[in-house]
Amino acid sequence: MIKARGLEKTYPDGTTALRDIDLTVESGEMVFIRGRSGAGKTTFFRLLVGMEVPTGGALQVNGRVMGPGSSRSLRALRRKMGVIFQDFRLIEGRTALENVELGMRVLGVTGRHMRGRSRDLLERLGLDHRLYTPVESLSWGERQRVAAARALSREPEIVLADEPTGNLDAEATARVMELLYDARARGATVLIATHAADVLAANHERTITLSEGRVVADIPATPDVGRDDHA
Amino acid sequence: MRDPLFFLREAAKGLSLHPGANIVSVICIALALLSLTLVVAGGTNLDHALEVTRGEAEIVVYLAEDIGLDEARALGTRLVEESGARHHNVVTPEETVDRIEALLGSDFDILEILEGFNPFTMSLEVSVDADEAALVAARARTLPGVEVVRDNEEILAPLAALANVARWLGLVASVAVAAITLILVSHIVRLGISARREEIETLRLLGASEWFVSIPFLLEGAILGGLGASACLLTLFFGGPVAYGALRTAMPFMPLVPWDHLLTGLISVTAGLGLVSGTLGAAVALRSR
Repeated sequence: MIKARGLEKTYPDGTTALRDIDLTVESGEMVFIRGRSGAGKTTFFRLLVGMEVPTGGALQVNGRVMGPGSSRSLRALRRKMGVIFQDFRLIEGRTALENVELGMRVLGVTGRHMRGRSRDLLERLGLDHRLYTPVESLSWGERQRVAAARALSREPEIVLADEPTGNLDAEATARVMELLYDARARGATVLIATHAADVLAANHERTITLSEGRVVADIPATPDVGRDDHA
Repeated sequence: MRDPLFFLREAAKGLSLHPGANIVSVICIALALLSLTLVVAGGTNLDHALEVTRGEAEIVVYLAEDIGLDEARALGTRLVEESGARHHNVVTPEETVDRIEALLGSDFDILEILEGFNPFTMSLEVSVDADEAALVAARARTLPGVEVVRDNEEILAPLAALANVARWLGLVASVAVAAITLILVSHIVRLGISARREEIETLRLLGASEWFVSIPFLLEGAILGGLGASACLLTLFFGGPVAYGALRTAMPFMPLVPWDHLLTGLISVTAGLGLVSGTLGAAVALRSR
């Protein structure tokens, strides 16, 4: 569960990225966070991952209060997360397969299970011909899919996807979205930041709109419209 | 560590980032270790010489002019019985002259120089345990007919002092070499950490433990130290017997530790110090990052 109350983030240069955010995301819920560039989506995600600390209000993720605290509890939380970073954060010099495996290795998953799951996800994302290609030789769209595979291979409790389809064509977008829905079906809480109108139009999930760091709209899901109808 | 090969591969990747700096470090570590092995080898040989000399512990008891052969034998037997000495040997004045001539050369006639007069007296060579030498000497001095007693403390004392100095030097050299290795490796590992800062940050964001992040760097340190030690040992393996042979020729009287035995000891010292200080150097770099 994610709970924000009066959440604020102001950077040292005086820029306020988030103001007075109040929202709750229940476990197992899928939420789209929309907004233009600079609306505060990425800052919100950085706070959720613990890359930044709030400068006001409170933020709780799975019961952990985000802010200065023990690195052990932050690490434990991160191990339950699968994050697709906007800048991918792939490790250069390693192949696509190695990058996906690394996401599981840090959790202590090794061996056949790790390799099989990494291959399976990369194949589902249409990267079966790129398994052994160093990530720096991949296109942006391919890198984005590797990042998605790494995040989802960990079978996380919380998925944070920051613009996960920004560089993808329609077919690749559908594949990534399918994996995100799979994660939700498994019980994961899924937050997807996007400003892609086509993705938002095709998925009738709860959608929170951010503008200039504030929540300006929070539209609930329309459960009568099944995802198969619009995926 | 579930997958040691993974961590080794990561360490190898880290090392491949700065090959030039790594080669220089390995050479410096090898040279530092080599200088340490010289000190350790010197110290070990001095200790060995001390032990050999101690093992040959003997005191010489010079008897009065009027003591004859039978009396000398009786005194020797009494000394052995009363002091716990191992055994004794009576050396007559004639034997003393023979020994001096043998030492100085066959064409040297000492009696001719002394105009036929043999100034030496009966003496006893008494074999003792090194630890008992002082007691036996003290007992001998109390016996009637004993003029002078010479034990080998005068040889042992400076040798022991020298060995002691070598031991301290070895200790100081070990600390210095460990410090050099530690500093070199910590700098190299720090370079690696700096080059892989983003990667480390990503691992942390994925929830990697500090151990998971640190192990490749610790292995890098151990590998650098180990490579330095290997280079040093290769030099010793090929150059050591030659140098040792030259030393034997130059100092034939010096009892040296057999080379193979010495090398076995040096392998443990060098490999141990290289690996431990390399790993510690990496740990220092990780702590100060």
